[in-house]
Amino acid sequence: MTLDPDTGKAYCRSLRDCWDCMSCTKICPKGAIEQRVPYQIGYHGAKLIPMMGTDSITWTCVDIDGKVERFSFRTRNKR
Amino acid sequence: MSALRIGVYFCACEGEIEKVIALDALARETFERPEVITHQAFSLCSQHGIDTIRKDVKKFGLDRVLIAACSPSLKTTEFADLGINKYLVERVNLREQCSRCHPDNSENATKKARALLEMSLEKIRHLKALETVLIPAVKAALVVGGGVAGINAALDLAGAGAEVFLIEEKPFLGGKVSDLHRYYPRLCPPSCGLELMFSQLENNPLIHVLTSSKVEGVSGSPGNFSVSVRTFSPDRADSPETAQLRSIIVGAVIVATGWELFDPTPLTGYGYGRLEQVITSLDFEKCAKEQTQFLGERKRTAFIQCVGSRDERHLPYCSDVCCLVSIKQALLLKLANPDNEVVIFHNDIRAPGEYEDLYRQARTCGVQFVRGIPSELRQDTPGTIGVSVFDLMAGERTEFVADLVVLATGMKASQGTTELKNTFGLVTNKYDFIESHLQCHPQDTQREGIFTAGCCRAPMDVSRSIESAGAATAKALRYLQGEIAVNPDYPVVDTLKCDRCKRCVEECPFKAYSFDDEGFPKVDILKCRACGVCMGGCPLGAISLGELSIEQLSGMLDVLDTSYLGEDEPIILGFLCKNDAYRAADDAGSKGISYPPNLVSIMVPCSGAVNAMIISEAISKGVDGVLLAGCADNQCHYLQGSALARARLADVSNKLKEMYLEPERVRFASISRDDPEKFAATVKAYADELKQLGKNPLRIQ
Amino acid sequence: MDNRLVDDESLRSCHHCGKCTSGCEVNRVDPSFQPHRILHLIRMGALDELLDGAAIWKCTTCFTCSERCPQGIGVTEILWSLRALAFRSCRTTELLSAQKEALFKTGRLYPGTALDHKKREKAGLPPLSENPSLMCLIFDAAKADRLSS
Repeated sequence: MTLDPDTGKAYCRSLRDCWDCMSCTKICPKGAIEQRVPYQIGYHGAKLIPMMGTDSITWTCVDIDGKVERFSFRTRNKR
Repeated sequence: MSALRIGVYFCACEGEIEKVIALDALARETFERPEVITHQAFSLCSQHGIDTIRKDVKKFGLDRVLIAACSPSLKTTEFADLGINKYLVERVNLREQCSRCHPDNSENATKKARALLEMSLEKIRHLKALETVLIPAVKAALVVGGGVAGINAALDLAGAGAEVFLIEEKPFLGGKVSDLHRYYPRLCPPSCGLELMFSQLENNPLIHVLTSSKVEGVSGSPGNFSVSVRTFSPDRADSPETAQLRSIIVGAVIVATGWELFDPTPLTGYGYGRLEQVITSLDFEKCAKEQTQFLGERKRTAFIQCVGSRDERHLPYCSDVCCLVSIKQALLLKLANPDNEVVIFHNDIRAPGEYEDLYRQARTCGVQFVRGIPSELRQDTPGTIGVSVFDLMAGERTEFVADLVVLATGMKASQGTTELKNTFGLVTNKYDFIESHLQCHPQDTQREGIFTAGCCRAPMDVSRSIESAGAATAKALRYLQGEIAVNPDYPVVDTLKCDRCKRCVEECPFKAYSFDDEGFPKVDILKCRACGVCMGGCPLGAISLGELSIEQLSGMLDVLDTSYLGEDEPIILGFLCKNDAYRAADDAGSKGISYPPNLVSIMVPCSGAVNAMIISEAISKGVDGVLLAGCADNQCHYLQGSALARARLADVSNKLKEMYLEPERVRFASISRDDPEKFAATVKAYADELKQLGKNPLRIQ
Repeated sequence: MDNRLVDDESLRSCHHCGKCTSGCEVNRVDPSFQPHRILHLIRMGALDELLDGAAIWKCTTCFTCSERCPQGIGVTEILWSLRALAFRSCRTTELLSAQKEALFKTGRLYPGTALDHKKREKAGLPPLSENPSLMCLIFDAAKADRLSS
């Protein structure tokens, strides 16, 4: 991800090289970024949505049938 | 980690809290924790109660003190000195926001008290001992503007022992007042007062007057502003480059850049500039002052009020003084020659307070008042102006032929004010005057250490200008004592977490952030007002306030039992802003307005201090609803705090929607300080709504 | 009576300065025409009195009042709206009837003056005819009789 110098907005500059690490999605304070889950992982229609806490992260997974599951984990932010 | 020694004190509040909340049971439970020694007192704020705590702190070497009693906004003096750093003392609100607002629900009130206690016991672990910071400050002040307000500010400041630099753009002092012929209500000449002021200025070794000078730039902080001032030669023969530049270090600044007269030329119907006999009220003063025969020689004078004022197209506001100026001038005409015919064409006459006497005096002296504003003026014959107006009292048109027409025009913000606004980064209101916070802090600007005196803030007469100079001086003195005491509640940036996104720098309502050498945000603790908007906006949670940290909040969320009222009852976590919502909630308790015990609240300095990650974390840890309660947008003590809170909340709400959770699980409520009923109604409605919505799917049993 | 056309926020911001009437050219000639009074009556809800009267038809729509009003009230537009209201509720005055008669009889709203004749002559135009047969044909075809209430 990089910033467009004219608009100041972020964009992915090389879609092919994206590793789907989702760092961008996790950190965006406005929730403006959506990860298109690759075919191999979730098929068309699947969703993976992170919600950051200060010491935890909650993942919402929606599979191809629309079934919703959520998982919360502690992260290592807490000192 | 060495074990903390916590003293937990329950106050029965002379039996009141005890009636509703089972303090005995709570005390026993808390006492089971190894690090806690507890004590119950009948009345904790009594001398006996305070002494008991002090004794315990010494005897047991307590590291923390938890007081479970009334609202933390009460009894602050009593609990100020317990023999331990006051930032290591935590208070739990068991009265106003528990026993008093759930009086008929003893069982649930106790459950809520337990939940509140758990949260506070966790928070208390993360408290740090903080000390007031003392910053050396210079005992000098800058006054910009040498009119009557600026001169009086300089004299008042010097009277309080501060060195003063008085800067004036023109080659002479006195401002607009030196152009006036007479003051109202005494009809005395300004020169008398001015001469006295000038001699006082001259004889005061603390005051340095710099005329023909302008402020060019400023840097530094309150207590140590570095101001660059350029002094021109009086005839402005030198260019900006050759004129003398000097740097002055001052602790505080008073802006007194005054006003300018609205030019009525755009109101072409009145012919100002085209018709010789049409002048403004300021022109009248100058003529009266400079020509001895001016007042006596008039025969038929017409005054027209509200020229360009209260007018959407020009000055939408009222300039406060114009009615009295015209009345004064009319009276002077009559006193100079009783045969003068004088008419004032007006809309409303504004003569507040004892100035009503002047208004009556004018009427009894024979000044005619006609309610009705003429639309235009005609020159029928050379030397006379025809004023044709519909007389609203008579109910018919009336014609008046005048040999002089005085247009009473209003005050607008001066060029100097606009220039200074840019130099100091001040905030102006929609009329270009400097924004202040009426009624609370009329002399403050939105920048620490900078104050206003006189008309640069709003149109006002001479007596109010002089008054405001005194008020500004009183405010400025805090920065002129040689050192400034700063409360340690300012924010601290964790540079290990910070990624330099600059959000905090941009969102700070008081422009207190700058960048350090490595590009990390650095807060100027002298400019900071500890609102927490930076803490609320940081996407990485890298900023924490001295008294409230992300760590504390996160810990509190960990221990909050989201089923404390049972499986089927929703739990609401409320973040209440300390200026408005928290006080309204306390008020609800004091007034006996009850609401359901489903809400546990955390006090925050401003709703803008709540970080979106904390809200998300609350939801993911099972809270059914998060209520952010702050003031209405235009009342926020911290300017855009609540507006930012709303925007952030909307983002969290959207995220919840994406996650197939209900966006209603986060809510903003505008609660005014004096609206406890609204607070109670909001909690009740939200609890009912959340019950309908059902349990948060993320709530772990 | 439906006030929506006339009574709204901008009208209520009037602060009674009287500038509209002071500058009104019609008021100079006909003191009974007072725009400020008309606005006041609307605010007081006395629409019927206005709609039954002849005053609202006297406005020449010169816009001086609207131009000068410090509150930016569209006085002229409000008077227009009053006329529309009057028309919709089938209230017209002799003024209007007289105009309608003139229109049907002569094809014009007002008779040509000596000045008009002179100007036409100078411009080489034929004199104004009093025979409105062509106009009547147009009106008949358009069933303009519906103009009468």
